[in-house]
Amino acid sequence: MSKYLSKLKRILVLTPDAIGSTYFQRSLTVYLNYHGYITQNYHELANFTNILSDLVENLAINSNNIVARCSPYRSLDFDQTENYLKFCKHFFTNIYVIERCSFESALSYCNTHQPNKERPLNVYSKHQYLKNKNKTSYNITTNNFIESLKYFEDFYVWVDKYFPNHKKINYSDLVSDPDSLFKDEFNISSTKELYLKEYNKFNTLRIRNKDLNSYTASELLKFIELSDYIDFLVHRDLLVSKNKFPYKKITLSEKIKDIDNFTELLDVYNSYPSNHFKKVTKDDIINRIEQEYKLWTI
Amino acid sequence: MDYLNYTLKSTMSANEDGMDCFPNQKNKSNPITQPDCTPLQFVNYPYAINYSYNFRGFRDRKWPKDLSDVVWCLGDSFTLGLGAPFEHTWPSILQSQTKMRCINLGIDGAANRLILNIAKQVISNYNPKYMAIMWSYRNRRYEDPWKFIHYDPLTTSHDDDKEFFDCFNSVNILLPNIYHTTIPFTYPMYPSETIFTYEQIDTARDGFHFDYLTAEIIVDSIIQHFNFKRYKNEL
Repeated sequence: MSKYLSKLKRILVLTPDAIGSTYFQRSLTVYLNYHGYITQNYHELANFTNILSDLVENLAINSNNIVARCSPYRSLDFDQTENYLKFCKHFFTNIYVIERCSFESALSYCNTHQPNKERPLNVYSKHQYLKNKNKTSYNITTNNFIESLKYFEDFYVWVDKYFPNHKKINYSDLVSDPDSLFKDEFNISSTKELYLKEYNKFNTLRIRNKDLNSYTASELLKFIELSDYIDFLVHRDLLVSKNKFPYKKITLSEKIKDIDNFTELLDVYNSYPSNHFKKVTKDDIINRIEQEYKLWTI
Repeated sequence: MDYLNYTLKSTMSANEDGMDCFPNQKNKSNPITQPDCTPLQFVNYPYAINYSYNFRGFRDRKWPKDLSDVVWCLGDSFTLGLGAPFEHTWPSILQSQTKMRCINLGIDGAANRLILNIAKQVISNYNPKYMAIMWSYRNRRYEDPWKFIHYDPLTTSHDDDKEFFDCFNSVNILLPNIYHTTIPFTYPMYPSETIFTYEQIDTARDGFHFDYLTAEIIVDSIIQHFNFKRYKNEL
């Protein structure tokens, strides 16, 4: 390895949606830039182009670090899907899958894809959150839920087939302390602090109109500075999407309140035959809600 | 002719040269054959490459005001570092290992006669203490200072030898103790005590020019030649 330059980091997150990949991409892009590694976030590669040769050429001459995502359903948009996936496998130096409980992911997915009431995949503002918040509780049909479980199972099969060299990132590590996760994962030696975790928590409370009086002026100033820094990255085209930074959309305890047949769906999930899903007990749910409360203080 | 204000060079990007660009985009009319430049090597090259030139037209930073103690590094695209990051060029590695300012005067496509003319001007203008020259292809010629004929089909190998020795001897008369080396895979018959020869052990993004591992071998021999102090280099 060169003693004179760091290798470029080319980071790809594989996603079926609803596992936190957008938060991963955005927060990692902000983190790496903040610590001196100029990094461009392409978000979904299929948004950039559907012609493989154009994509290859563009990525190959990019002298920045790269963060992007690849999903099975969007990879079909490419003119040569198989070659596109092979290219991704070879080009990207770090390939990740976020390991999130598939039960929660399937619930999120069903919320996003409610019949006749589609919700955005992520929320980026208080207005968007309030507009799309479930006003009344609702029911997820067993068939719909099983469909979404099948969708996630297919995703993991796809990952194993095309990207056997991927690495797993734990979802709770990502949301509970992204700064430490990225520091360890990418060997960042900088001592500068970014406060992504606190920023995330602040925004989670803010969009829900929770009391923010406990925040000190200096803490609020840090969040303003971070928000300005994110705007700066957008201005520099390092964050390519107008949607800058996603906020926590629905917590597990909110899902329990929103979904009438939550317990029934948990049973469906646990009896679903899968090589990739871990069983979830009611105690697990209680523990997660407690952890969630500690993290978000909602 | 001011050979140290090669501003025409700065208007020519590396891509236009057809040497370090995405393989599909190569200029098919370029007479230089590229042997091993595959899309995979280009795409997977793991370091960031930017080509930026100083106002004189050389791939280097601004020259310091005091030029009395610098190392003047002359050559062609192998010295310029085509296909490699600036930090992987041999003048840059020499600078990082010796902490002496090394001035990169590499010109893409330079013929030996042009390298000689640049050397003459440096010697005349700056009375240099240290000069390292990486000579180019023997059969490369130019008609006027910046119009290169990469390979002149009318010349014989005897003409090439004569042209090279003429350049080599001319510069040695002007300045003793110049460090001499060549680009890889040329001058196989030349005595190694006067020109340092080496084997290319790596390739840059274009699959043709060398990268930092080969450059380090050259730098080692320059340090030995001038008896420079070496500083440990760590990223």
